[in-house]
Amino acid sequence: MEKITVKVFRYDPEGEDNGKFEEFEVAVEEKSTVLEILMQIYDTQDSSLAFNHGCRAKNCGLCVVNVNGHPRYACISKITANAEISPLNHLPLIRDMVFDRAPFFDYLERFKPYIVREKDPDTEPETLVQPPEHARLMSCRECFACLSSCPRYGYQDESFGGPLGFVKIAQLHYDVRDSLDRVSQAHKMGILNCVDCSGCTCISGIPLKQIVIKPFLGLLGKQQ
Amino acid sequence: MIETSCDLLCIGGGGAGITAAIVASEKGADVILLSKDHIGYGNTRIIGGIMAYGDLDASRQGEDFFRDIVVGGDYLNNQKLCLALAKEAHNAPVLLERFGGMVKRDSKGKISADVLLQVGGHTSPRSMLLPSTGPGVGQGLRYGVARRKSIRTLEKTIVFDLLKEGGKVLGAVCYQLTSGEIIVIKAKKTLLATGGGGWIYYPHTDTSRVSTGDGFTLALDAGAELVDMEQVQYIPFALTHPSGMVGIIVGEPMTAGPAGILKNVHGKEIISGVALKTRSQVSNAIILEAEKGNGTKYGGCLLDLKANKEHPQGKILYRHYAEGIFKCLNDLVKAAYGSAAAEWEEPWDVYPSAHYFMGGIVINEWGEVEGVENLYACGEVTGGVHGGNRLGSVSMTELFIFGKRAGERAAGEITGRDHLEVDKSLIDFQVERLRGMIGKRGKHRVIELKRKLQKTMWEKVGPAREEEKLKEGLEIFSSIEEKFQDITISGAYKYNTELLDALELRFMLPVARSVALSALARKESRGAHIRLDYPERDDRCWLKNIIVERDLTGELSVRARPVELTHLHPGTGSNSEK
Repeated sequence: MEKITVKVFRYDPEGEDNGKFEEFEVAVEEKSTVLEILMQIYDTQDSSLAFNHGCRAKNCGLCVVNVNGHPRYACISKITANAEISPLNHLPLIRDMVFDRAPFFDYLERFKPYIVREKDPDTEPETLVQPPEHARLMSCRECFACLSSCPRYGYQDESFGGPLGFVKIAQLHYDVRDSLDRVSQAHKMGILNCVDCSGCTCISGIPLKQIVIKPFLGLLGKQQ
Repeated sequence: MIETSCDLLCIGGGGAGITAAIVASEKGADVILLSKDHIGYGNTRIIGGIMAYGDLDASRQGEDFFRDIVVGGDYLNNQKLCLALAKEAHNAPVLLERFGGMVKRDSKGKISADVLLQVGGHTSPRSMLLPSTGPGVGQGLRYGVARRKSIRTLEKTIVFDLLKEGGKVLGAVCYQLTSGEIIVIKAKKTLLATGGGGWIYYPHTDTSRVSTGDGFTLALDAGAELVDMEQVQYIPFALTHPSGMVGIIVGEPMTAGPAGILKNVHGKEIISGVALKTRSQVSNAIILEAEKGNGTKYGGCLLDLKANKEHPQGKILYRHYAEGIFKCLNDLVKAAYGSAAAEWEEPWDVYPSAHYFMGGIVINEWGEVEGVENLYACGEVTGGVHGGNRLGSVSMTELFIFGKRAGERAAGEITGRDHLEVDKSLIDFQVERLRGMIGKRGKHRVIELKRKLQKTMWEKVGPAREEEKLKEGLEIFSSIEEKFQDITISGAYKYNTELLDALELRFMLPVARSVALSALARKESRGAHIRLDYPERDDRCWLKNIIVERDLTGELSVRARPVELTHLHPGTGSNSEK
């Protein structure tokens, strides 16, 4: 057991400033994680600290925060001395590490974020061959890290849906049951901004460039 | 304060609540879908990726599946519920896919024998893989909700209490974390789909942090009965260290593969043929071995998977772990135990972790809560389907089958005669009680009480139980209840984390007490319930369900009621009968 200091971003919606880092002294073991430390602070020092978590196993995507400026799963990232833990970028903050997901999903509504079929299947369960890209994209954690790492995204800018927006549209594009023109939607969502940019990363390892951005740009006649 | 009304209020945004909401809205009901987390989360979001389909031979009408559920559940099941589930299981993927999810198929795009797996306790291969696991299911379900504009959603909203009058439920009073608003919902019908209570065992659980058993207590307070709350499923293979990863699932019996061996610290095999055993059989073997002092320094046993790498079927399983749908589990093993363990060259230190509540609210086949008007329930919050042990892959099926049954029934029973007149003084009373908690200054920090409860659950009401410890547990719960009257809660408006903890602890306390009282009452070992002081299953005395309810003074009372063996009874069950 060793003592280290970590810096945690605090934002109080009922306060006067836009938030600042606060230092905490915490006890760590060899494999202590960022989530463990946030929980330790919550349990033993300050239970007004707001952060999300769900499964502790990299599955739900709820605990993702910036660690030293990079998006990480808090549940499996090792804590280090003087680490700076802060909320993801470009999103409306509610309190401390917690941001509001609603503006993104409200924006997505206009793109019909669900399967639109031409006709109902004759027999169910129907015969379906699933493209591997679809299975891969449906494993998206919706953790918002890709939006945080995008140099262009801002939740108030309606001309650009950002990488998560493109992923959501691509899920439906690869879904053999869906009948809408999702390529035009990607265009409307501003995917042409992604030509010559390789800013976004997926912390779950979904190859955004290969299976989302390049194919859409290709179908829109743009080479990367 | 915001006041609104609807035909049907669905409380719970996992698979069961969403299915009920969609089905009811398609029947014309005006639905509010409320979730403590986001919609499409909870434990549905983090499932490992298997769902029971039933047998391909439809002429058997689910008879074999039914028998396996009841035999696997050690005969505590409500057989009418099991029969409904087994008969309709084929409909589960149909519903999931109508909403937007997808199950794995063969190369021709069919659900065939080629893609069905045999999971422990099932006597034939009847479980499907879900290619994108929990996130795929969660997002598919969200598509389903997004498409139905008539469903109003309330996310990050916790119920404070149900509105009740003369044995009838009339809606709920809630707090929305993200907005800070108190929301009053008047509803003609209310449905509980809040999931289980695994988080009361934190950190010894692989469930989501929202699983605090809210619906059990809401139902108790409304006059419902809970059945067999002592039956908590421990998934056998969970991590024992490091501290931040304790309790995380890394497999279940099936994933031991054909050549996996489970050993004690001395290298002696403790149970053979692990892959086809039920979860309770494997967990109980580990628990009892560790009790004998044959565990590792972390208290676990050793799961050695290495021989699978040389076994024809075992190799396929290894590939699933190395690069397929179970890769996420291997990643966790690597983070905890290192590369050699993740490559199956070294055994894994494993101990069971709280995974699923078999017990819960007493319902009939249509999800109607017995004894309470206007109240329905489906999914993990209900009891009876799984008896003393849930077979792997069946809970996913249950969400859709009983979500549909309850949603249809609730919508069908809404008539023009139902009125939404709720006595204003009743609403004001509830809202004032909730407001009274915000900014309360007392002696005790809520989180300390919550952690004390969780620690007590594991140590006194955990996997290996005995009378003395259970009584000590109940004593500790009493002291927590007393301290809970004198707590401190922040006065923050938005995202008041201490208020959330307090509201959850308020639900967790009766749940903890229900589990402990039921465990104390059942003087035998059956299903997932181990009594060190009563180590045998005793069919002569204990073919009974343990029922918990509130008595007239509001105290929890416990009684035993003979199981209704409507179709199958011990002796006719065959196969795993001893």
